[in-house]
Amino acid sequence: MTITLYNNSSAYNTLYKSMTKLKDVTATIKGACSLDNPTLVIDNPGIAFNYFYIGDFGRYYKVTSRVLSPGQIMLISGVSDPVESFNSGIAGLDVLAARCEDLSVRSPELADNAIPLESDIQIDKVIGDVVIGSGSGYIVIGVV
Amino acid sequence: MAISQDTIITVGSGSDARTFGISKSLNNYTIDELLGIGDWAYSAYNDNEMNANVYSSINTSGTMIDIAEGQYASRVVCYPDSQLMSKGYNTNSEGVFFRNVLIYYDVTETNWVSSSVNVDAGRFPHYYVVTDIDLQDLVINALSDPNAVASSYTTMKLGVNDVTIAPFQLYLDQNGELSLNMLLPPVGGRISTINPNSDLVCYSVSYGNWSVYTANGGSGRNIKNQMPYHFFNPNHVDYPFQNSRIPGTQVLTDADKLIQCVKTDAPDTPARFHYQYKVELMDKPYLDSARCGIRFKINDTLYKPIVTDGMITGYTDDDTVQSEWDEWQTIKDHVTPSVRPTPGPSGDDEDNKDPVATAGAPYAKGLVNYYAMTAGSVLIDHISEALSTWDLQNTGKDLFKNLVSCKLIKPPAAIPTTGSEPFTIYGEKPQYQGADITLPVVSGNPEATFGPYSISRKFNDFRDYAPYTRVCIYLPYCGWCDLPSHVVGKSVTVKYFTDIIAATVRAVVLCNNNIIAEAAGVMGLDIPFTADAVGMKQAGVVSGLTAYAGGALQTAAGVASIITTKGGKGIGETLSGASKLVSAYTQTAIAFNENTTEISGKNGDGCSLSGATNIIIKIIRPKYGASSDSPYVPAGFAHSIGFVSNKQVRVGNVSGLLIADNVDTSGIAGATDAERAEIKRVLESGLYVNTPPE
Repeated sequence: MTITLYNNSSAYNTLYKSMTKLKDVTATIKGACSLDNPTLVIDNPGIAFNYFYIGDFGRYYKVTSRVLSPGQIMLISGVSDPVESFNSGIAGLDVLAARCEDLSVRSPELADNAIPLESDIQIDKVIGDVVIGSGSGYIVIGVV
Repeated sequence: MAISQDTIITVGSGSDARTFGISKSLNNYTIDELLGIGDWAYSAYNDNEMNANVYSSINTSGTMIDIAEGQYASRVVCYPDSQLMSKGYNTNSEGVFFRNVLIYYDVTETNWVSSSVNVDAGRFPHYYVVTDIDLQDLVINALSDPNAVASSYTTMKLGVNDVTIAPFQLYLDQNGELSLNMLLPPVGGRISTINPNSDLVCYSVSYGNWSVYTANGGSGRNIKNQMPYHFFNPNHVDYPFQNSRIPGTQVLTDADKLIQCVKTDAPDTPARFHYQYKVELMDKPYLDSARCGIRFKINDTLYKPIVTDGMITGYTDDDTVQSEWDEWQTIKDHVTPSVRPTPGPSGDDEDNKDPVATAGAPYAKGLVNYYAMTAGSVLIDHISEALSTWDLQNTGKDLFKNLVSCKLIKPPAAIPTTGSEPFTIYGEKPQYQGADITLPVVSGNPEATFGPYSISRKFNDFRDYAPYTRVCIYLPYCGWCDLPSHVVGKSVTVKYFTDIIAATVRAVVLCNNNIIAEAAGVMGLDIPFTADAVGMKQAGVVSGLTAYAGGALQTAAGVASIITTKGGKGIGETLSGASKLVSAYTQTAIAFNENTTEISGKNGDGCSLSGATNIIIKIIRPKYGASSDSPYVPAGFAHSIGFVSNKQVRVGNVSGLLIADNVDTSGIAGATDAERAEIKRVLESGLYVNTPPE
């Protein structure tokens, strides 16, 4: 079967990873193969790669080991990356965002204990522009 | 026609409030232009003759560019997709304001999405109007509003490609009396059939000098509210001419008839019909302030007006931006816009306004008359002189015992007086140099209002409120008191009520007409005269003048000395006048070799007069570290930790870090249970969302 080799520069917990497609190669399954942790045999591609995509499985895999054997045969193992494999499904999920970098969904009026606060204070003043009780005042006398 | 959710109702009030709706000469523009199809289609007219810079522009993408602004600006525009907008506020060169209230309906969401309300809280009803009952309330309240100049009610039924003005109008005589206003004023305009397929005729009535303009292609002009309005029977299309009477005109005299008119004379009709109603209240004083504004929605983005000092200076889709619009109130709570201004976490219910007294402490001229003189006035010397030379022996009247109080008062406002009268005491009019002493007579307790004082936000987030931020206010006479932190981002007003008899003040701090703090204080120094002693000593006068002469005189002189000394230190020069009174009395006693009065040595609370004389508001906030720009968090905070959201979002619609709660991944097809669990784990521990590749 044909697999596609990639070079990924994104963290694992990234949706729509930044991956550069390198080349398609022919691979054969080595031994019993699981969907989550396949081990494949390919010809040495001669390039560095850290991700591969198995079209037959419809999944992306993060390379966990590459072993080069005599005869330019490479044994590669990978672990499934469901975040990338199902990125469109994840993108369509409606979730309750607890925290988010996106300011558009921030709830600024909700208390956020993660924001550090200094114990020191700053004081802003608003001073009325009217002097109250100005002048010398009044003498008021009451008589009967 | 029942007022249903597909009806737009606008309300205008004020000296120059106009009914709202498309006010556009259809002679010169096509309906398409009015609908905003075409670049920069002007949906309202620019009336240079009226010194109005009124415009409304919508480009082809449906984005609102700007709307009615300037002199007499007040417009509502509706066009397909229900992107409605209005920016109407103004003050003309004469300082006359008008205001309006606008409620609109977004057919794309089939609900009421926004409204603007009047901010002149307590003086005019503010409504979200969705039912005919509300309309009735509207009319009734408008009629009962003593401050209203004019009110207009406009209903328009939305419909795509529907643009029209006033298919008929009605005149509501506030007094229920028929008048010449039933007749049309000189008509310079002409009939415009706005909807060619309808049997309704729209008509624009000219008024006074306006006829010049309406004659000049101005048919279709909207209606100015000072003019009388008539109900046009749409079945009559052959009217009117100058000074003619309109067939089928009805004069409505009360709110019930107005509602009945709405229900019976304008039954539900195809969407191409619009209805306009106007109620005019006449002969009312101008309003002293007005604001209006509308929050509107375009392409799922909600914009609110940025209002500063009552003027709309722009619009923003950031609801955290400070705007006086947030303070504007509604007194209706049964219809809630889908999105309301973000309240502070304190959650004050501002729909319920506290009944704030408009009058101060009761005051009545009666048994005791009060005279007020400016401290240091020569009148005090005149009184001293008159009393010191009073003929006690021959009259047998000791006037001093009728001098029941003497105070130095520094009120927050001038003491109201009702002219001047001769100084009268014990039925006598002591004279100074042979003439009556004319003194101002106190007629009431002074009151004063200060503010509003705007308390700005700093962080535009939870840190602007308690327990992170504390607000306190210094009230002259009263000292410091705390304010609830929800006043941050709002304005406060301080009212002072006084009692000159007790020389006390009560300061009431208001926010959106709700009392949020009160404090009491003293505004004067009391110089009491002891009545009991007066009576006792008076007996001595009657029984024998000389028996107590030596000792009593010594006592009086001693007390007077105390008063002079303490008073002189406490209030300085001013009390010297009062001291002269005391001295004068002592001199009188000496003159008659008699002492009849003891004077308390106790002064009033002079401390209240020695503090700051300006209102001071302190907003005590936490420091926010090195970052000087909003949102005042450390660099990288948003990307590494993220802001609190608590909102439902679609993962693909956000960018950057997303930490979700209790994610349901059952909607992801093709994934194994283990993979769903892993996706759930990642979403709940933190997922970075990138832009999907092209």
